[in-house]
Amino acid sequence: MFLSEVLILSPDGTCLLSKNFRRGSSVNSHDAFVARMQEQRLTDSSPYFSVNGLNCFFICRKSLYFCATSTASVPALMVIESLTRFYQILKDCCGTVNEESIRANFILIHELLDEYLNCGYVQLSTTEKLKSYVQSEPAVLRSSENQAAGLFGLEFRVAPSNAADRPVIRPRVDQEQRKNEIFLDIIERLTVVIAANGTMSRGELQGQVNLKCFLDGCPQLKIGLNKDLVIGSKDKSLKSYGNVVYLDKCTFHNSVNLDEFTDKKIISVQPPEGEFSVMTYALEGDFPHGLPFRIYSYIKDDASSRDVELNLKLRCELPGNCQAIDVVAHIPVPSKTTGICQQLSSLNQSAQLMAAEKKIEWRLKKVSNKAEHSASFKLVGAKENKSCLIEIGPIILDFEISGFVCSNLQIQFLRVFDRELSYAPMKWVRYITTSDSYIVKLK
Amino acid sequence: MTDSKYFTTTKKGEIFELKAELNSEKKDRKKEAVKKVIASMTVGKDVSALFPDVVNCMQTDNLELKKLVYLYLMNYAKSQPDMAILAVNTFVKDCEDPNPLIRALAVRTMGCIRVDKITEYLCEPLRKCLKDEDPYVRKTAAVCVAKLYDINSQLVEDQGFLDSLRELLSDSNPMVVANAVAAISEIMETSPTASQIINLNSQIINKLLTALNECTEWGQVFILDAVADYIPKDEREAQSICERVTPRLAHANSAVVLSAIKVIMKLMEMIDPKSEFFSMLTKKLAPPLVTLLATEPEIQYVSLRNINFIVQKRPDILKSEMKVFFVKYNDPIYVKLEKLDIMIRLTNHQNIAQVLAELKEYATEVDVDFVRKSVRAIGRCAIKVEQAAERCVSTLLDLIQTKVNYVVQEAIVVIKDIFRKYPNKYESIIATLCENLDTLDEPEARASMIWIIGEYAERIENADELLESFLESFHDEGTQVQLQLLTAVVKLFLKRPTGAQELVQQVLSLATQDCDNPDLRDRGYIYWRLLSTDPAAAKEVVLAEKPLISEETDVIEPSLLDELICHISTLSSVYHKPPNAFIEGRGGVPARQSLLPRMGSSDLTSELPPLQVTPQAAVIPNVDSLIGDLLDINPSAVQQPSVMVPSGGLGTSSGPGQSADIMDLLGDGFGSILGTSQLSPSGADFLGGGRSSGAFGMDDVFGVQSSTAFVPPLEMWLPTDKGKGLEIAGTFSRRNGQVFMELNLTNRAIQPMTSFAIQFNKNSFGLVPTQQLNVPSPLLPNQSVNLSLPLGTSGPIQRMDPLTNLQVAVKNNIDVLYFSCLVPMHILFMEDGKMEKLTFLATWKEIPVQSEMQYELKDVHYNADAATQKLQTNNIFTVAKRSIDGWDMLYQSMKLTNGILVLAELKIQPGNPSFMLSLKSTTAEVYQGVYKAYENSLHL
Repeated sequence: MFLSEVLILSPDGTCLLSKNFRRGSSVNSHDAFVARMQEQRLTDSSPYFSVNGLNCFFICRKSLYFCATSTASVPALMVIESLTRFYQILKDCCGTVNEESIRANFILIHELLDEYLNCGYVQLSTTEKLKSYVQSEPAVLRSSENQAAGLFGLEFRVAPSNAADRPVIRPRVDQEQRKNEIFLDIIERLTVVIAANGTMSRGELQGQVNLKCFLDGCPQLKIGLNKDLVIGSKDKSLKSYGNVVYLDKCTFHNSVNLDEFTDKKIISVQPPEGEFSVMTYALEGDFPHGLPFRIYSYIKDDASSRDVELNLKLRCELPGNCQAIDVVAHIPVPSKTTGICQQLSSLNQSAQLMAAEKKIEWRLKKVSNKAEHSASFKLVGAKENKSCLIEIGPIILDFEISGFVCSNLQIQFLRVFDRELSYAPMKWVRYITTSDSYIVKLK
Repeated sequence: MTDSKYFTTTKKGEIFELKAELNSEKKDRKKEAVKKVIASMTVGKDVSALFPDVVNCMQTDNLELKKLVYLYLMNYAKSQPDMAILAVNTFVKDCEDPNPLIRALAVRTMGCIRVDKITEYLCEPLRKCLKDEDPYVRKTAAVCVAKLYDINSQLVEDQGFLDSLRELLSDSNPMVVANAVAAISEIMETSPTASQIINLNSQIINKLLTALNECTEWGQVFILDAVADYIPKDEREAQSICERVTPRLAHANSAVVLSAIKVIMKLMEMIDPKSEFFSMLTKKLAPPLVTLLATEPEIQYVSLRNINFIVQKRPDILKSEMKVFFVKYNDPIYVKLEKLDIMIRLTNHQNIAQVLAELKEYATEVDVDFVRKSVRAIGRCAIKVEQAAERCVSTLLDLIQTKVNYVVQEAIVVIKDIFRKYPNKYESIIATLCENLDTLDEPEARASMIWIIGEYAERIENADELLESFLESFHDEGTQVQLQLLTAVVKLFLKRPTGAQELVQQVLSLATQDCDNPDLRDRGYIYWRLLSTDPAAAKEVVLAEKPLISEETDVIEPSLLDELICHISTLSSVYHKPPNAFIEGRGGVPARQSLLPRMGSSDLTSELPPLQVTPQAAVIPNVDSLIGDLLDINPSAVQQPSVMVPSGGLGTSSGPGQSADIMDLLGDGFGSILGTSQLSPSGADFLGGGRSSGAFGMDDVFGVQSSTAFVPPLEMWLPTDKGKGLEIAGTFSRRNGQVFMELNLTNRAIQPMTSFAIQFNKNSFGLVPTQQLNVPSPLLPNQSVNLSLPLGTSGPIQRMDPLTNLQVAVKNNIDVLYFSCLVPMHILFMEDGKMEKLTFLATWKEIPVQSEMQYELKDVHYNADAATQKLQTNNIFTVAKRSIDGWDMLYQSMKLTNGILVLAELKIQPGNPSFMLSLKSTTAEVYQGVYKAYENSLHL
């Protein structure tokens, strides 16, 4: 059950940090990982392997490798889960996790590891509890944009994009000028398959309500959700009644108090320090607002030519005035395609043939609501025989929409119960929808 | 201010400067200096010269500084053990510090310093800390015990720390309980003796389950894993444990969820499958398994590996959750492949349409491995769900139309299997297949195509031309293609004798004259002889109806499946192998865990839910390769014992009288269109061999009693002159599963000898005396005494050279005497070393051919049965016996006390005193010893 060694490796295999808990094995852990890296790209291989009785595990986050080894038959899932948590703790304690911040905080990380993995056994794993055992202060790396002072009052309106990338444990000097802030994110990931006739043949979303808290004294919070929220009811007919928000499954964090949930849909929580998911939920089937994107296609197949013409139209069907950014459509094309001619409807798009992956990447920087973009591609030399056409499609769509979630879940209010009323906290609520696997079939 | 500035000092005399700073009066400067030292240490600079100065800083009440110093100490204590002693006093003092953080820190650090001298000092403080008033200190101490056990197990047992640990199981603080459980689990894993001291009974389990609700998530994992190892008294208790564990299924931590699933899956064995409770459990297991798939890919992967066999054990649980296993395009490839596998396992006639639509989609993706596996999956669907076969075939045809090289090849391989499952149904598509002949460049696809041509030669007009075109490159083809080509041409000839005469002669001469491969040559000879003596018989043999292939080919063997259920969430579950197959030999062998039988009334046992298990003969060991799925065709298959025909054997000795043998051999060969089929019938043959070895079952009963294991003659270990008057001769024996050292001690001195004691050095197999030398004291001059010293195998392990070397020290009132002797390997063979036939087959196959070793045993005057018996008395068990062409082949297995498995094949030709012995094991070092064991067993 114990871990023998924990290592953090840079993408090229340099050891940034290693901590040994147990008697070594005949195999050097670091060598084992480096050898494995040379063999194959670690991201493509399963997250564990064994070398001469040494069991090695790793996860890859922000292109750093967090590795653990053990000579015992450890529960694989526990090791991977604990590495994941370890990364989370580092994020909480160092702000951002990268090579520089790990080097800068090596003593702190050693201390953390000592508490987190006492003699190789996983112990406390919440940042809040670990904090009380740690003496070192985190070294915060300041990026230049962070230092730009806010103009009068304006800083109240906009938080810098990396505002949440700060360590939760604060250096003592900072404590005085600490801003009381709280970030609440609702993130939904969509898995959608749209059949060729435009109907949705599979639709799932996985959602999380994440909370990151920088408040003095860990006060109690109350989060109000939609009043008409229905969870897991078999009776799907309820959906038809107006604005009911329906979720299939919902799990809450251990620290959440659900006393007021059934009646008022209010959850109260005593937030532990660090980032955590207040609730995770899932929804399957139709979404209240329908699908955010649709793609219409037309393949023009001229019998006399070896080229194939492919016309696409992307339509954004978001409600309100939100917009999607970084929309990328991956369009598989026949392997024989030697080049493409393209015609795009607007300027903020681009398209490119990735010959090695036999696909076209069609990028749209910004897609606003109800907008329609079209592209037509001529696939040169695509058609060797008739059957080549089935290699076109299905189209895979990547996107990120801010200010909108498909489930319609909403935060009605977020109250901070600070007994002394010593401060007015800044509250940031963000809604984000991203694609997990959004597939549009063409035929 | 960042710590990285400490890395920048590279001036000369740096050490000197640091030294000055370390001895500074100011605390802040001291602290900075220690930080600098540690910074240098982490980048690999040698700062051990500063050891005394840093240790001086230890005496401080500043916690931060103290921690830094401890960090330094842990790193250098090993290279500077003498210096480390200097720090011991401070450690001991810190263990009494009023601050619990410091007490815990001191104990933890001492445990980390692997210096023998320190461990001695550690005992007292550790004992105090185990009873400390602060839970943080107690839990640190508990873990420290496990660590100390790893370093010096004897010390821990002598000091009674195991008892203290057991007391901690009843601690009021759940965190302490969890860590004590973790420590105990680790100790029990490494040492069998400890499990006698700490016995998990129902009261303790009860306490653990109470602590479960309050402790941290990782503590819950420790506790659940310990509970999983407990065997409840009866169904009621099992039920109540299940009830208390079920809430854990909703936990956010996936490790907790999977451990809870493990407990429940194990206990479900004991619960009446008809009861309402059982069906409720089944229902409750589905949602957590599904939630595990909504996580990071790494966690998903481990979960999928577990689900893969949970689904095989209890298909009901996830039968309606097919959708969650549909592949997402951005899943990492290892997750995709695993999902695909599970999809096929869950396929049935209700969801087949959906699955097929998905698979077709996957087959046009980019990743080659994934596409291949998807195409195979379509074939597996066709074989599994008969109603869908037609749709699958048309899907495959569509895919062939894409002309994507690897897709076409995979499709042809699976279509061949579909033909074997549904003969005479889909032959209309052969024409389409033939169009793609020239694109095939992989041996497996070529072989499959040739098989199809041969099998349906009468319907393919230009079959002769097609085969002829293959024949041109006969010598460049792989063995499996050559074999197929040979068989296909013979089939063609038998079906259409007129046109193919020339062709068949050509192929036979190619196979028999120009070829080095004995398999091919022998098969060629057989066909030749058959065709020339009795063409009618040839027709009957070669064109005989073949058994249909089974539905599922890569199911996990039931006994392994049960064992895996016991190891859910561990590494075993990820590798789909029992733990002893990949864990480094750590002391004792963890006992093989098996599922508990349900303790209800016996008439119900027969009504346990039917497992989805195919007839055993068709079970092909699960191969972890990407493509080796439905058909496992690898070159090594040819080297399977079943087809290892002695080369030239037919040419020299086959006469009319041996036609039966030839038929037998054909039995192996003719169905063997491809690698798998070579395997499956031989698997069946293996079982057949089992029938003939059924007689040994009887021998088991008598054999053991009638003749005892071989005991080598006494050997002079310590002559008088070296033993200062004491003479020791000895040997080793094994009786009733216990190893004994047989000693003869003679006092050749003129004075009586007293106070004998014996000790072994660490050795390869962990042999230790389990009791002291029982020599009558005093041993008078010229008196001689015979002793049997029982030995255990749980001692410390160190690899010796030679492997069986054992260094012994015997002490008496005169001196300590040292000698060394060799342990004969056979005393280490365990009584339970007999493998299942299927396990044997799988293991044999798993071990690469390179690690096979061959020996010749000369002048053996036993026949196969007598040899079997003789070897069995020495715990070398015969798994199966076969006769091939006058040779007797014995397949044998043995298991060493440390869990190493050795597989052997013994080739005996009646009348010939030389036996051929081939050994296979994952640990090649043991071969020499095993060979000697055979020599000894068969010569005496």
